[in-house]
Amino acid sequence: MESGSIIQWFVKEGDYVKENEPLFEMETDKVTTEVTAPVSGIITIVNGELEREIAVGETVGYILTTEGQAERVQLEQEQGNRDLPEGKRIIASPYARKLAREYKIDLSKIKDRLLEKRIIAQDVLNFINLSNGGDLQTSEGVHENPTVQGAKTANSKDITLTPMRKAIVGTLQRSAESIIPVTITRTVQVDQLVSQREQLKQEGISVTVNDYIIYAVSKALQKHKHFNSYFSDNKIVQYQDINIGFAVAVENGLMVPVISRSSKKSIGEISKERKRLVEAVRNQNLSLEDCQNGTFTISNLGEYEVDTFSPVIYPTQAGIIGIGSIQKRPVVKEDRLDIGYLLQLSFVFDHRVSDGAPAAEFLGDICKGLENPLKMLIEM
Amino acid sequence: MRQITYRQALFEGMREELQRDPKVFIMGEDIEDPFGGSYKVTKGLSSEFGRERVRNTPISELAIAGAAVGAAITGMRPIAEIMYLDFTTLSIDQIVNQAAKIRYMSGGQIEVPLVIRTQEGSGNASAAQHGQCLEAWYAHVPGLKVVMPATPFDAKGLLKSSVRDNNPIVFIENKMLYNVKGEVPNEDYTVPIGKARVIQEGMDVTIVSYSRMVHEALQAAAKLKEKGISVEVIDLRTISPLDMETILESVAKTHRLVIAHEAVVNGGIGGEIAARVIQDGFDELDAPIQRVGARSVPLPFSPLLEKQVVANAQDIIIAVESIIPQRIGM
Repeated sequence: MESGSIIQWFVKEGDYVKENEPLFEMETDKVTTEVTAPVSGIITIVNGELEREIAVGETVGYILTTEGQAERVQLEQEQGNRDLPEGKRIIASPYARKLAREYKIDLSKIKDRLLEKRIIAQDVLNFINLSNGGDLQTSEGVHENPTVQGAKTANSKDITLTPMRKAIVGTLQRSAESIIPVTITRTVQVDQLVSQREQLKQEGISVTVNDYIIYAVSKALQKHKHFNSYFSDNKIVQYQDINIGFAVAVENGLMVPVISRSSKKSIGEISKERKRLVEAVRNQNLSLEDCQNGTFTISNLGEYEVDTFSPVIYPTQAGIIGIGSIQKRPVVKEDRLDIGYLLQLSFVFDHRVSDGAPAAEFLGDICKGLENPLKMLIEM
Repeated sequence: MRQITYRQALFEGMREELQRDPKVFIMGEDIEDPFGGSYKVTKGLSSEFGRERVRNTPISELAIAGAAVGAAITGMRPIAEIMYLDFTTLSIDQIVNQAAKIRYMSGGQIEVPLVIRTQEGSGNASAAQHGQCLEAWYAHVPGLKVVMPATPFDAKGLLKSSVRDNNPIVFIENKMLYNVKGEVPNEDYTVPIGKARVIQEGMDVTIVSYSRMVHEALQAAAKLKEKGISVEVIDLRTISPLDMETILESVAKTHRLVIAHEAVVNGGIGGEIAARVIQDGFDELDAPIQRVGARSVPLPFSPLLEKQVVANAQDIIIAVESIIPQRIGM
């Protein structure tokens, strides 16, 4: 509430009012309410025209108390409109507050989700991304476009970056500035996987290709731990847990929810958790924790019938797997042409962490698992 | 482009100004050949231009500054060398009470085209009375400009601008930079006083620095880059006047600020920059401003202790990491 207006006075100049007796009726943009006398005394109205907009804190009159002291009557803030109860002040950086103002975000909602004491800009941007799919524009409609400023011509226009786009750009730039990526690709025949999925489907169990791949990657990372890491300050920092992020496309961007401790999970558990996360992305109620602490990522463009591609490694990881579509193709089997289901996997890794041969072995293990999923699933 | 040292760049700057303008002359302790000055910056100049224009003085910093102010207000363009910034404490009356005030008190009738050339800094065990960084004292005085180049290019360009400026300038070099090499063109150029330079662009944090500490900041930035932290490095070049526009623009981009100088943190120019950023860029700050500088103790003679007192690249890295949260990124 910033202002209100007086609709009617219950007292007139020179009246004696008792403490807590109504003085006037006030209307704000939300409610109509009675304002009562803070003390007993004789009323003097100085600024009390009806239906004039009066700012909060403006003096509308005085009450002369019996002790001879004038008590100011001010247009007071409604109690219920305070954003937080006493002692629960939100601590946020000035820039986080600026963003919250621009995007009309209630900081108390972010506070509830956060373990850290101070809310920073990144928390506000994360919140916007998680709750709005990044479609939100600033209230002013304009937002600075960092660094590259091309010459404006009649044939071009500037498109404001959404918070999600901004976050993606930041992540990509961070990756490009430090990581030295190398891509290796391998084709794997997945006939058994396809038929196993069919069988399971008939049993009413839906397990996706992504579930198999997350499972296979987790198992392979357990063996090839050096890819469950990142390069920093002239050393390789290896993660203990294996947490696999998987990219999910949303309108105008993408999100990467994380299946934590995936190497400790069965394929059923992975499948269940992945479904929950995809559902949360769709319902826009993914929590910050759901997106944090990824140690490796997979990205699947199979549903768009892409053969193969090289995704960008997340800055605090060492590798990412790009997954193409499963395609029926001619294959050579015992020197004769046959039909098989083929899938191309590309593995992009940070060359500072490891080299081509170990990367090929890692990718080989994933492919072996996917080639013979039954064997992969029963192997401990 | 050719590479020359900071010392050579300063030498060339003075030599070219001596050639260009007969009103320019240099005075200082032991600056004539064969000694050529304590840090050999003027070596060769007295032989080339004669002892009229490059002249030794008695060992009295007050006399040097006083004579230089007198020469400046009567039509000359003196460059007065004070061997150590620490010794300007003896000439400070002439610099602060005379040079900085005359233009104002004469209603603009008298100009003071004076350059006080001196040097500061730790790093060679020069102890408590020969390595202080007192630049904030002079930056505090209205009427003085304080110029502090970090590179050979800026040393030459700023020295030439200083000689051509009609106001008193405290030109502070750093003794550990004299042998640092950098690109300097052959042709005549100047660097404007009061303009900072963004040496390296970055996204996550801004490090504002000047003089020798710029080199520590660049080292820190390189290490931080390996950790995935993108650093913008600004070399102020002049600490009075301060180029707040460049600093605020950078903070509006990175939202985090670290100010690093060799001088002690307490009462240093870092505090002034921080205050102005809070005033004019408050809404852009996403983290508390960090200041990196020396501890508040006299500079120890022992090289090991000296290292403990003076800040370096590692201290800058710690300061940056303290305000870069783990939860950065999407």
